[in-house]
Amino acid sequence: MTEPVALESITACFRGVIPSPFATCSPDGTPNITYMSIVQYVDSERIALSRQFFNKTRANLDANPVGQVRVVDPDTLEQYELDLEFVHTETQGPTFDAMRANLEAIASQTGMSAVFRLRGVDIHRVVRCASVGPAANTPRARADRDMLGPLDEFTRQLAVCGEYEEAARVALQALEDLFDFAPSILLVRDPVAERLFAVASNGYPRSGAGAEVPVGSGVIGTAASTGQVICVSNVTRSRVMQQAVRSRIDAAGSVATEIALPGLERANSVAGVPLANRNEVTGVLYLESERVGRFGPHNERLLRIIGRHVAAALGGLGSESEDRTAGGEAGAPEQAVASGDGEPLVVTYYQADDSVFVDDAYVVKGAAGRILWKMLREHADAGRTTFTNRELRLDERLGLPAGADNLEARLLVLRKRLAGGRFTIALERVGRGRLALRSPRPLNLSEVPTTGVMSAAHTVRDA
Amino acid sequence: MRIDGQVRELIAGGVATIVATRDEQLRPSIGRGWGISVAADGDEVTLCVEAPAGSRMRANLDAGGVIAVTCSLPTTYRTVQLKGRVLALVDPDAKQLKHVHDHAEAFSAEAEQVGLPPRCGFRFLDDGLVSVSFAVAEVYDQTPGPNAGARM
Repeated sequence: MTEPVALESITACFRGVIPSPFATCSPDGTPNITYMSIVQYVDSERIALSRQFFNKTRANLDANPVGQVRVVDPDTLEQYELDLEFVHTETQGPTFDAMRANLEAIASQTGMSAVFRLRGVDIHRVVRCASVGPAANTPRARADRDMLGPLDEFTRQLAVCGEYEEAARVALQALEDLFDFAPSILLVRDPVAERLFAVASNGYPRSGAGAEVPVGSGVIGTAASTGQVICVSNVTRSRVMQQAVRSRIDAAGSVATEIALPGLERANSVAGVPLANRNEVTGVLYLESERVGRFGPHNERLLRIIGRHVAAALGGLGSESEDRTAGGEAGAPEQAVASGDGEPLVVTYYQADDSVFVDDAYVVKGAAGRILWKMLREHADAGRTTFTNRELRLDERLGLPAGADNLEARLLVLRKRLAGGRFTIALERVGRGRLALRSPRPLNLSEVPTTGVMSAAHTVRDA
Repeated sequence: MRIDGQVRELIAGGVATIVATRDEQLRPSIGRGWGISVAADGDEVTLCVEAPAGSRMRANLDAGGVIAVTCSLPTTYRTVQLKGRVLALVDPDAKQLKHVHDHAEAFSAEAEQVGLPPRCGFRFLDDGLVSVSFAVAEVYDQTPGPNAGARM
């Protein structure tokens, strides 16, 4: 008989990398096996199992509240059997909420939220935990790496950043340097459109600035809507599982479209970290890894701390202090400058989604599109070339929500989209809170009105 | 109960095979199974079960009773569960051990595709194997989803 093993020494088994078989027994003595997608560590005496489909297991536990689950350490492949006594089912509370957010994020990534609805979380008392199989032994105590040092350095590097763009860049680089969290994407929430848009990335061949994700859907969108850290420790396994279920449902009814994860083609583990500040989720930090099990319960707490700190750091940058140093009266036009010579650049603005196209090439849409259109119009009409953050923030026609306008993030997206001269027009920072618009060719602007539901908004804004 | 062609084909592949038995107090025990084979007439199954001497699994098998076996293909999650009464318990012969080895190879190849380390089947393979035959009484479709658990 092997020695009992302390649950806290095998937390690697609860990362969800390898599915766990769970056996129960009916009152007539017939055993039954099901696979658990999540076995969650609750405390030194209890674990939680997700309750989704398993009807026979439910009936068995009601009649005979004992079971056994086998878990595997994904790093060492050591196996442990846990004898369980069913305690109760929870349908609310922190354990339920965290598990539901994680399951639904994965499900909605493949358009299957309704199917993978978490019905409850079964809490079991662990009456015995023992090492089994060929590698049976007592687990080595694996000291968690002390994260205080890297966190100290992370907060120090962010503390010296005076500007939004710099802070975004430094944060993502420090995540790679200090925690080996790369590649990464920083997305900011647009509270009006309920979408998240990418403002910075690290470790990808392309910047991806301006890419959008709807709030409430997929790993990123669910991190934003629930405020929970979402970790998918084994993307391939989750996808195979979803496909298996999907294949059973497609015949019976339609399911929503799968949303592609951004970034790596071969991401094996991903995390969506909410950026929570003043009780609000202002954005999401999205992390990917090619390593299975990179993100999971073992680093959720660290990710939460990082998310809160990044949110606080970015939230404190840019607005008032930047505006005060911008100088000049808000919106005061400087000396008019004529656009350059040559063939006019055709710029089209579509009211329907605030999208801007230059010579038929898409540039940007949404609030960033409205900002660009305002600057282009004033440049064409009055020859203006410089604009201040303050005048943009105070321009009611731009429809930026007071107090949560994410202006710096939007301007960052805009500048990145226009960078490199691919649209001929350039937007550059010329000091704190001040931007310069340059167009070497004359502009030929046209605005396409909308007749749809957004027409009223434009009527109000343009009044 | 006869095992049909589709189920036969599934369990002949690199499936993760899990066995459950129970003791007199109806406490279940889990073990891994290897090298499953179906008798020609389709109503008897034989496999090697991880059941070292002194283990609860070994005691349960010795006592007879009902056994449950799930076979799940890691790359598709197609899963079946077989249940039936234990008929015989013997030490595995050379032919069975070769079958166990081939199964561990096939399982490793499957598992590697869903993120497990290479040759992981051999790291799960226990030397305390016992060959178990049972009469198949029930077969269930256990592929995850709302219909999991439907009798086949």
